[in-house]
Amino acid sequence: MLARRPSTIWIGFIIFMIALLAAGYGIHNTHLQNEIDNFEEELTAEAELVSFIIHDQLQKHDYKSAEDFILNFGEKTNDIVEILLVSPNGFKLAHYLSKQTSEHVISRTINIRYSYDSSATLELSKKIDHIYRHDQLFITQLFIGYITIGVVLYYLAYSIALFGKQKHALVNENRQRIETERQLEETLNSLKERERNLNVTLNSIGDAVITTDQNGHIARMNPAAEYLTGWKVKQAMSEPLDRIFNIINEITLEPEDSPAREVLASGKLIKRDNDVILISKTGKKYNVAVSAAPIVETSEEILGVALVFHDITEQKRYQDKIRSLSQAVEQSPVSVMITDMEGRIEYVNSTFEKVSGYSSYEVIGKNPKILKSGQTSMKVYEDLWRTIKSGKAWKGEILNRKKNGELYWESANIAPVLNPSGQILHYLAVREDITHRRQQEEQILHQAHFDSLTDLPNRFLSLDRLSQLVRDGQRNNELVAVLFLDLDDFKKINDTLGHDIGDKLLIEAASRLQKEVRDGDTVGRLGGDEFIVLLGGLSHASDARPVVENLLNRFRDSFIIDNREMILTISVGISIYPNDGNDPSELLRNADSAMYHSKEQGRNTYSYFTDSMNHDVARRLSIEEQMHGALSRGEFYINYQPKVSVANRDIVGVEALIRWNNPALGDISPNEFIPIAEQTGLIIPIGQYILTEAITMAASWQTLYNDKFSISINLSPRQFRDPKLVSFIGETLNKSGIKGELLELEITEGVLMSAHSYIHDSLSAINKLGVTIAMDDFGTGFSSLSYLRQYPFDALKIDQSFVGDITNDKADRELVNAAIVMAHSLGLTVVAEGVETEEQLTLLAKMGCDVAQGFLFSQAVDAETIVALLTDKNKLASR
Amino acid sequence: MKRIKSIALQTLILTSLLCLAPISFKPAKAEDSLVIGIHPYLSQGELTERFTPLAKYVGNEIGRDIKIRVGSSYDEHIEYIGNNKIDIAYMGPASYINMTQQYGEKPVLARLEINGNPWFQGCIVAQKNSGIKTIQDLKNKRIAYGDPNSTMSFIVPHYMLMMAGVYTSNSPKYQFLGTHTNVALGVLSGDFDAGAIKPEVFNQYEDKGLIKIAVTPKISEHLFVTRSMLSPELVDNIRHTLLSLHQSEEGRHALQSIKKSISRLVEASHGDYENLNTIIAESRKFK
Repeated sequence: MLARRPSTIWIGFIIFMIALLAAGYGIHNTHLQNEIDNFEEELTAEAELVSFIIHDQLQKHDYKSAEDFILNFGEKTNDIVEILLVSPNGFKLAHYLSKQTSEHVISRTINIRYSYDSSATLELSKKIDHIYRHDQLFITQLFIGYITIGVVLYYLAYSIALFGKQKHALVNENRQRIETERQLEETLNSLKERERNLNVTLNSIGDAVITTDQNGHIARMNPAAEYLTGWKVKQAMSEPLDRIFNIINEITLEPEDSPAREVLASGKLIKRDNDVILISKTGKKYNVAVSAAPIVETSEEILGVALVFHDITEQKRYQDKIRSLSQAVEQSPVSVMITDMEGRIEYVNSTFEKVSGYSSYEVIGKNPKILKSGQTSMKVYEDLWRTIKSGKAWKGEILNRKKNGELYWESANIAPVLNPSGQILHYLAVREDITHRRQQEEQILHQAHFDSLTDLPNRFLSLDRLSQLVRDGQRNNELVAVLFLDLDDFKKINDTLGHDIGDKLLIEAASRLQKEVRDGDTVGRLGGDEFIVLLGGLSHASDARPVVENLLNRFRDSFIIDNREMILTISVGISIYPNDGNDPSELLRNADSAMYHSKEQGRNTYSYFTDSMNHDVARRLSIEEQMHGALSRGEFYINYQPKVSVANRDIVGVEALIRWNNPALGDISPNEFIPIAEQTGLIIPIGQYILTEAITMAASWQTLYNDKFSISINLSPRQFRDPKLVSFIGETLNKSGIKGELLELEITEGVLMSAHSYIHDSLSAINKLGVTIAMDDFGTGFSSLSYLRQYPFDALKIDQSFVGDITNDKADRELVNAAIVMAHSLGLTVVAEGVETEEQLTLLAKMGCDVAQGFLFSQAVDAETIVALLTDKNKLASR
Repeated sequence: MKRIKSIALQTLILTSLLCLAPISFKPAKAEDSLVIGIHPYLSQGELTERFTPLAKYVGNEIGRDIKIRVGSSYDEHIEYIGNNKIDIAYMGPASYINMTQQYGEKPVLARLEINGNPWFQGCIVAQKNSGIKTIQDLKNKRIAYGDPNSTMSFIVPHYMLMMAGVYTSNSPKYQFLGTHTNVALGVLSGDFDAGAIKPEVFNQYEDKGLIKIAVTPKISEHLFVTRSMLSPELVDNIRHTLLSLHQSEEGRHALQSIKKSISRLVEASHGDYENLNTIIAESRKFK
């Protein structure tokens, strides 16, 4: 019976202990999990904050700043083990790795998408060793508690069992002793009652408590005090308080006197809760909050000091963390605002103050509406609130108003701050002032669509508007007119009066055009001196007529620029949708062709597009296309028309005439290709070809047949714009060795009419080379006598249109006669062109004409034929 | 006769006095200090500190006080030397070319030699495993540049790509990331297919996965020039002092306080910058 009892007790005891441990394990697990959960929330918040701040830096591709922020954040924030920012290809954009090692780490990963095709992954890892350390401590405490309970229970049970068996013997043997012991114990108990009550009270207090005697030596310590100081009561007893409660100043790190001494001296309560670090016996440091109070009994004598303190290390750590986080937010270059759920502002950073002009105290508690400019559409705000109330982040651009009333654009990133269960606690707005960027964008947009000189829509916008009009026309079954306008002879104004005046003229012309059209109609500048007017919603093609006539009329009035009066006319081409094309470029092209037609009609007029214009333009384009490279392909050649002395019918020279045979287009008349060559500038190389070729040929004829043989070459107005013209002629003459006087250059009145000083200079320089100059096509232009006087002419060529009629038109005959008399009076030689009959020649001879050329003698022929004619004059057609 | 002579004598004396008058002021002017201008590539304080040893040393050697003036902007610096408002200017190669294109050439004193090279060479980089091997592969690719004013991180490489016909109407617009480091990181992260950086930055990131697909032509280093019309003797004197800086302890110290890696100053002429001149002029045509 007796033998069985202890074993029953043992088994019971073991089962009881296992149950206790199991329960303890359960409690411990829940405790640990709670701690980790709390820590994870904190980590998520931090990771989101980091990603929020570096998002904008990544968006600007300022990877370095993002990296700097991460390294700085890692450095300044406690317990961070690693922060990793990785791009999708695995490249580490930033990597902060703490020097401290740790066994337990938790991580949070966030994907940051900073543009439509760019993202990066942020991984933030923190150590949670302290949670496990606390946990170990917790287990140890639990375990010791269980053992204590077990041991107590075991002895209790064992005593009960033993008491049952030996009850009688014990009573008998020890009755007297027990009685004595009982009395003794009662006395002892009553004596210890106060002590126990005090200890229980002290031990149950969470705070550490140390009391001293009136000399400042340790009298009592509770377990919490033992834990923090590292001293056991027994060792510490009677030691001076300074030794046990060893404190230093947190900032200076200098040792500090224990507050006990001061309390003993002053008898007053002292509190320190901010800057005290307690160093335990093992060297561990704790931030503590301590208060020291005198122990006073009824007599007012101070019996000692009671020191109450507790560990605030953790609390400090949190404070520091919050401080560094808020510093990061405070110093962030972007505006940060936090509001409560109702939208009341709770926090703004200094950038917000700087940008908005509001101080934080002016806005705290207010609604962000105070920034509203009233110019952002309600839709934007509705979208914003709908998005953030659904728990998502909103991103967009808002026009806000500063305190001083100035408007500014902000790029805003507004996100709800959620608690772990998904409830919204605050709203966080991170905003950047993008006014400057928006202004630049608007300016760029304007520049992209408007001509900078006239501020009219440019080619791009004009064509865009035309597309719109065409679409409208299609829908409403209406016509659209495209007016292509070109200022006549604008180039001359630019060349003679300079670009400044030209520009002012363009601005004035643009404003006249705008005044003449309806409000909805578009006037655009296509470039240079080309404008476009678009008229939509027409019923008939003829509806454009009054508008264009008005425009032409408007240009009748002279322009006054810088006190200079100028007449500027326009040539207009009109194409109509849908008659002349369905798409803007076709309509524009056809209006352009029509405009060309107006130019050919003598300018200052308008033409509607017709299909035949298309053919003209196509022909022109193919000539232009073929002309490129024609010179190097040897397609040009020269024919020569003999010039014959009227007196004795000797060949005195030839006129060189350019010819072009192209494999694709066949023979092309000079009347057709010379104007195109002038416009494209190809006249310069073609002209040089003629000069070289003809002069070389003339040189050989001079040596072989006649050293007085002259060569005539036509110069086009465009060639005078070539600054090398004169030197080229000089060099060619030198190379060939022919005398200047045997070269005759023919120019028309058109060359002189532009009255450019360079023409005058060139003619004088040519004259100095000894080269003779002939006025060509006399009679077709102004036939101005003053030109003949003004410039160093040597010869006058009467146009064939007059010569052809001298035998049957009296007026022409008199005119030619007068021209010959006048030319002779000026000392000029007279050449009659287009002489076809003997009668004409006879008449010209009577009038005293010097030289003649025409079919009567020969058409323009190749060089070999000229050689044949020179060797045998009889071969001339008239013989 | 005597009278005529005395008039002639008086005239002679008067003329000599008039001629002497301006000359007699000259020595005073010669004592005036010279001004060396620096472009603001660092803060004013930092630059003054870095160039003070040079100004003192050269000033001592030529017997003139030399003052330092830090320009308020690159453009202002160019305008100052261009219009001869400062006596000596320290210039980057692109600034120098911009200056000569606006104001014509100035006497060149010397150029820097960095670690033995009087020129530098940027590189165009891509990711090692991107398949991009030459600049021809960069058609329609995303390109990152550093700063629009930077020779190595924009002007020269941009010209190379332009000449290689890399930009087409479909090309995504290239972007400026501010610094060489951001360009390297932008390429490594995959946000850009290629970028232009200086060799130091390339060396720093090469083992992270960058390769060079092209190097720029050699561009002559930073240089010192003088204003026009400084007396040829003075220019020669300054030039000689600059070119022999590396031969004395104090001179080496003056060089290295500007930049640690400067080994010495070497002779230079406008021709050394001709390739950059062409590049900048050609680039303008494309704008």
